[in-house]
Amino acid sequence: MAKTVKDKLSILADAAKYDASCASSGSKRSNGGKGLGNTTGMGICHSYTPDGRCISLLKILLTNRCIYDCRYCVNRVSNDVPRAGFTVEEVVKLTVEFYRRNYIEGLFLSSGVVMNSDRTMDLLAEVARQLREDEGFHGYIHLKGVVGASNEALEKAGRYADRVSANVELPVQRDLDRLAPEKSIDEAEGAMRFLKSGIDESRARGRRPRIVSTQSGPRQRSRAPRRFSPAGQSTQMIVGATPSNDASVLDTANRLYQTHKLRRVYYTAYSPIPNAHQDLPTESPVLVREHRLYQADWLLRFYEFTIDEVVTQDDGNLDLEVDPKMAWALAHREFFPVDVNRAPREALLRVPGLGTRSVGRILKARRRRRLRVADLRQLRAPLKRVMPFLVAADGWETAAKTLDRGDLRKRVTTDDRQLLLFEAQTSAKNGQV
Amino acid sequence: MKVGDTKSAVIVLDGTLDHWRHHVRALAASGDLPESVRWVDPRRSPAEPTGGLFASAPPAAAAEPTQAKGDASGQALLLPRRFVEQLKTVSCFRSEEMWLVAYRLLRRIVMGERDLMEDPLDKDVTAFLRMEKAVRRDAHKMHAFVRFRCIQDADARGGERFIAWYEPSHLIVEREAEFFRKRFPSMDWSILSPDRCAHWDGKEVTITAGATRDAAPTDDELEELWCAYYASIFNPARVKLKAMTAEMPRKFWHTLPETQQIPDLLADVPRRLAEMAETSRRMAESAMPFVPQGAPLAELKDALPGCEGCELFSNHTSAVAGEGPENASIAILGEQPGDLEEQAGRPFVGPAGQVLDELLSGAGLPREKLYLTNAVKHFRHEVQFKSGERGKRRLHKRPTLEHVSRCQPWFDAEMGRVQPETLICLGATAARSVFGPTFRMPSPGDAPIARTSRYAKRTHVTFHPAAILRAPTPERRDSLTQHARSVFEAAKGPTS
Repeated sequence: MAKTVKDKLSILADAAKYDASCASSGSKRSNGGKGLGNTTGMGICHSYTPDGRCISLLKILLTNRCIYDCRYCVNRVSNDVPRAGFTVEEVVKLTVEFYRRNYIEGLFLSSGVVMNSDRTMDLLAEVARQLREDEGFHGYIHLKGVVGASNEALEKAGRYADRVSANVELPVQRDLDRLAPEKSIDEAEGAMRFLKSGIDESRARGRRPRIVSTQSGPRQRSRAPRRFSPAGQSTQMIVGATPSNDASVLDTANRLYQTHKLRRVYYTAYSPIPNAHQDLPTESPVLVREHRLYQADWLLRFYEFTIDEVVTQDDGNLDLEVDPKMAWALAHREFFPVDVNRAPREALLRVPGLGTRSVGRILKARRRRRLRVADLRQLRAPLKRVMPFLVAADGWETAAKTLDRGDLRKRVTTDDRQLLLFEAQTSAKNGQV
Repeated sequence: MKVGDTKSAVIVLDGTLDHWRHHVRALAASGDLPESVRWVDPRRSPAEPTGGLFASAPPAAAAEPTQAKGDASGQALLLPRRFVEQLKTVSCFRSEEMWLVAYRLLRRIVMGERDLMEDPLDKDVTAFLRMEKAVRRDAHKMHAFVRFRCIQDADARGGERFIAWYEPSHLIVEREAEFFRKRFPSMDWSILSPDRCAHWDGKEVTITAGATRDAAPTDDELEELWCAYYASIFNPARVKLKAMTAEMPRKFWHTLPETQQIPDLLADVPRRLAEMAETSRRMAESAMPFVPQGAPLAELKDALPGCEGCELFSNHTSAVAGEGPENASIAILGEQPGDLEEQAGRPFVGPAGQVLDELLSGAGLPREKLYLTNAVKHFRHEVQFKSGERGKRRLHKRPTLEHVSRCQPWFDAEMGRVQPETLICLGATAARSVFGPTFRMPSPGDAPIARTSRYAKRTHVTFHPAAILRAPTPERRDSLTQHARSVFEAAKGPTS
């Protein structure tokens, strides 16, 4: 019985929902007044589902048929789920028609592996090619790098997509051996290395001046930069499907950020899937773990924290009760209190509750006056959270009274629970899952 | 209208920034800027009872300010460039208050507080920035939440026109028309709203007066697909309504087709969660807890009678363990023990076992060097009483996917010890327990091929001896036998 496009869409969107990324930012693509769509560099979330996640892209699989048997994956060959597959033309048409009605920013296309990796990768790239060349589509395209795809196949994907991402799936090879014996981290990193060289090359060309003068007199236009995955690359790691601890997850992430200049590492809490394999936990790891990993990831990249600093527990895991910055502060009370009127930027950034933006505001405001507690309130600093660690012109008592108290942890923990909801919102806004 | 401060002037605006700026310049030209001015803007306070008084207020925005540029009163005010940019944004804010704040700031800057905007603690600055942020957010939401509906229109390019009904919180339609022009250059579109409407025909953007909702189409055939997508991408395992409504406040819902199904989706969450829990509970209940992990084969055999991984343990049969040496290089996987196997407590000793023995000796494979086992260790059967015959018969009944999956930890443990070079799956049940339920059996005419599985580097699939026994025709029997022979022959090949 032939499936309708609607049936296929339901199956293949459902199968794609375990991929976390939905970012549509970081790429600029202008249409020169023709065709359909442009990408402005700012992502747009066009809708939100009741799970609080945003819909920015049409996120689907080309097919959920797969020759692999990765045990954490809902689409593994041994799983008994309804199967479907789109044709290239169907995906192109859906993307264009959704885009024209302003439902989406573009397409995030992944796939189960059919026939072989190269053939599958080529089909994904062909969707992107048709969108760009036949439909004049300038919206965002994110293609998943199919595991085991050759450099030639990746090359075509990078030429038409805004982002190509290869998933490492699990933090260490030992985990892969257990759950996805056909996959290897080296192979994923091989793809990343290739993508990085393509991205670097196209950036370098883009920086070169477009107009060059030649010896023979008239100035000539140099070749336009070859576009290659202009929004960079990202990857995804599943957390909680294996016993690997947060330190090893962050360690892998850190290495990938440094070696392959990834834009993002997405962490996705293993979500028990229908008909899961017995090797897998049946309970989902607490979602807060995924959240804490994102917080730690952020601290590592933008706040100059190290893995040793954010991982405060002996078992190598993040503290689930409080955020990693608070956990560090609780373990390093000798560093505090910090004087909000004198401390350097780096010290202020270590205060739980102060982010780069509020620190920026504080630095601006204190040039004009000595900051008092009321000023901090007006700057929207979360007072209950920050005051145990700060000294303001008129407020040193809170810090003096609470900093060395044994129950400080308990106090901030209750605050933290309320904060979680709020943070989930902000993270939804900036696309950080 | 009563104004407390007698010094304050009353100025009626047409709602545009240019008009306001014109008046500010005029005030500046006539001497010092007065400390307070009462700005009246009918476009921003249409509900105000005094609104009628301003019926004569200049309706056309453009005329006055352009003249103002040339006239003496229009002397340029030196303002920081960034402030001027911010003013353009803030002037879309839907409240009369806005002019007041903007004027106070402007006056203070002109009076000498040049870096006033750098002070994040100043009350006027905070209010101004808050309005700027509100307008930007509203614009961003408009970029996100406008939903076009397509209608047939012979006059439009491509015969299609895209029309949206949208109600922004602030007066941003004119400002944001540019965004949509850049995004959809090849489409003819209109965005209708209560304040203003914007239209694009491929040449220019036209702004017209506000419209009502009934001017917009009520449906679009793509919405069914869009709603199906929305419903499928939602993960019921993690409901976070607050996170959703923080980013997509309810006031926007009435123009977003996908939100219509939210109540139904939420109502269905408990059922879907219960279903998921039930599936994972059923799947979690496997033989796993009964299997001594990493134990040698003898120990596995000892533990097998205690298994309660599925309901078959209670069917008055005893489980049949695998048989063969731990260092076997070839393993053979069948479906489940039959009547005679169950009685003997050994695999492949019934009629099908005899067929297997013939195949093995034909290929020159000594049975005692192989490891033989079944995907399901218990005998699933139906009891049949037949009139005219004595006693009852136990009829084979094919185990389900669930039986196979629950029993799999035993096979995993066996293979963990044996680690064969070659695995031969006999029949569909065995093959599917290795390659998954979507695996399709080969045709009898196919050449034997070795695949890689998680159990053995070379894994073959052929037909179960019982299928050969029960073949409907001699021809069929021959072709099945032929396939099995070729597989055993191939399996023997490189390892012997």
